[in-house]
Amino acid sequence: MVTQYGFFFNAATCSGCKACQMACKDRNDLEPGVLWRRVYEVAGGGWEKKGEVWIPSVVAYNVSIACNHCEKPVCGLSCPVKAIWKREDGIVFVDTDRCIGCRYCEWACPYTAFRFNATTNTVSKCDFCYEAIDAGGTPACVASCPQRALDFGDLAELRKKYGETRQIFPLPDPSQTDPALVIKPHRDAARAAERAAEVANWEEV
Amino acid sequence: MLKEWPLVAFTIAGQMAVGIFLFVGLPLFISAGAGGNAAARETRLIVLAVVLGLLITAALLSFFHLHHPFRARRVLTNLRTSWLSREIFFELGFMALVALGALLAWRRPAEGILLKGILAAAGLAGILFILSMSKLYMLQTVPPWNQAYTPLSFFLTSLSLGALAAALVRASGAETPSRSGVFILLPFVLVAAEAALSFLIAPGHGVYGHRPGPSLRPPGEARRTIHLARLALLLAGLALIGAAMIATEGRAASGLGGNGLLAVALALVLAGQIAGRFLFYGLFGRPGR
Repeated sequence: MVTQYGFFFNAATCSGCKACQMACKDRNDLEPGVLWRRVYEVAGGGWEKKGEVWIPSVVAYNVSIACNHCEKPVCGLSCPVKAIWKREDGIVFVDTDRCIGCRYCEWACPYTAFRFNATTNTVSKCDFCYEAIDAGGTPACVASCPQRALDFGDLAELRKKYGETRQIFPLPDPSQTDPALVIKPHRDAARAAERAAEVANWEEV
Repeated sequence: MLKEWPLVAFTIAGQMAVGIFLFVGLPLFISAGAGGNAAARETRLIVLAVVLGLLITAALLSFFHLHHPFRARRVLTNLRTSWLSREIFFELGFMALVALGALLAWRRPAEGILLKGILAAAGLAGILFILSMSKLYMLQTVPPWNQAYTPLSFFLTSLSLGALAAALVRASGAETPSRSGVFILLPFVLVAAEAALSFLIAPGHGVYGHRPGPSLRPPGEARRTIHLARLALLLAGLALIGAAMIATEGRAASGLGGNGLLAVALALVLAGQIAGRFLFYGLFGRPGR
């Protein structure tokens, strides 16, 4: 039995097509502006002089991120009404019948996973497509990726298969929440911070 | 940042209530004993009523922040881990103890020791209320809030507004005017400290266009304007407190002149606090809408 579901993201493969983002919106019927999965476009660098030669030092890659169903979900710890809870298989849920709409979890989550739903007047977030999972299916984002840059499964298995990396720029320090996430970094990721990379599509995500 | 007006109102009113209680309410009861003359007793009851009024206003305004206010009855269910639950717990505790103290002072003024005990507990609850309010915002995920500035600023707001109110009450002549000079000097120092703090912290808060990084991208150019407005209001308030001191030659600010100056100073400092609090909420930057 799965004790902690998790996502795998391959930053080296992701082309930034945003099919995952759109598949998530479609499956969950999210209103405009609400994104449970988001693709951050990281860009930085420019030209660097080496001796007499100018060479490009551009950093450019994408990061697809949803709720990471953290092992230590600070959102749930901060919620004053215990509306955020974790299922036996590690999926973190929001009880919209209990949520008071204070939006404190939005501040507490370092991955900005919570999005306000103006229809229900509560916060909302990725639920790992639990209905599909329970029926033996696949989360919409994983199924839609044409590059196979996303995968899901038992976190222990994902770590065996893909390694232990949980953080690349601009994601926060994983020790804050222990995200159920495994990442294969893009080759530019290690130099992103030193080359003043930024999220280029800030308003979009 | 403007959409957070209910939180601005809640935090400022709550902090002001604690400040007034600590600087005016508590000292009046402790120094006056159980009885005292009718006028002094009336003043003490009015002060507690003002504190209660501020707390009730703060609580009511905070409901505008919630999208499901009728579910708020469950807000105390996560005292074990949520600072938001703890903040409300201490606010309600403070409010209940002040109300109990006011009731006792009104109906049974002779119960001196019991009354003082209840009001001392209320003072402690008030301090814990501000402390939990500070901890609530000191989130690891929001670096501009997760620093000493947050509790320092919250306590300074409470203390400066409370000290100014105390100076005003002393200047009105309801209590002994002999030590009123001290009561004007104290808000002067506290407001000066607050103005200095807001000036020093401004570059770190991106007021002058500094961009801390992608995850903290400033939302707009409004910060500079609000920061300057806050500084101007605090300095104008400070000037008036100084003028009140000079007008009374360092003695009691008795008479209409001193009172008027202090009342306007209180209004200016309060407006400066409100501007500063909007700026505080504007420090939270997040992607998307």
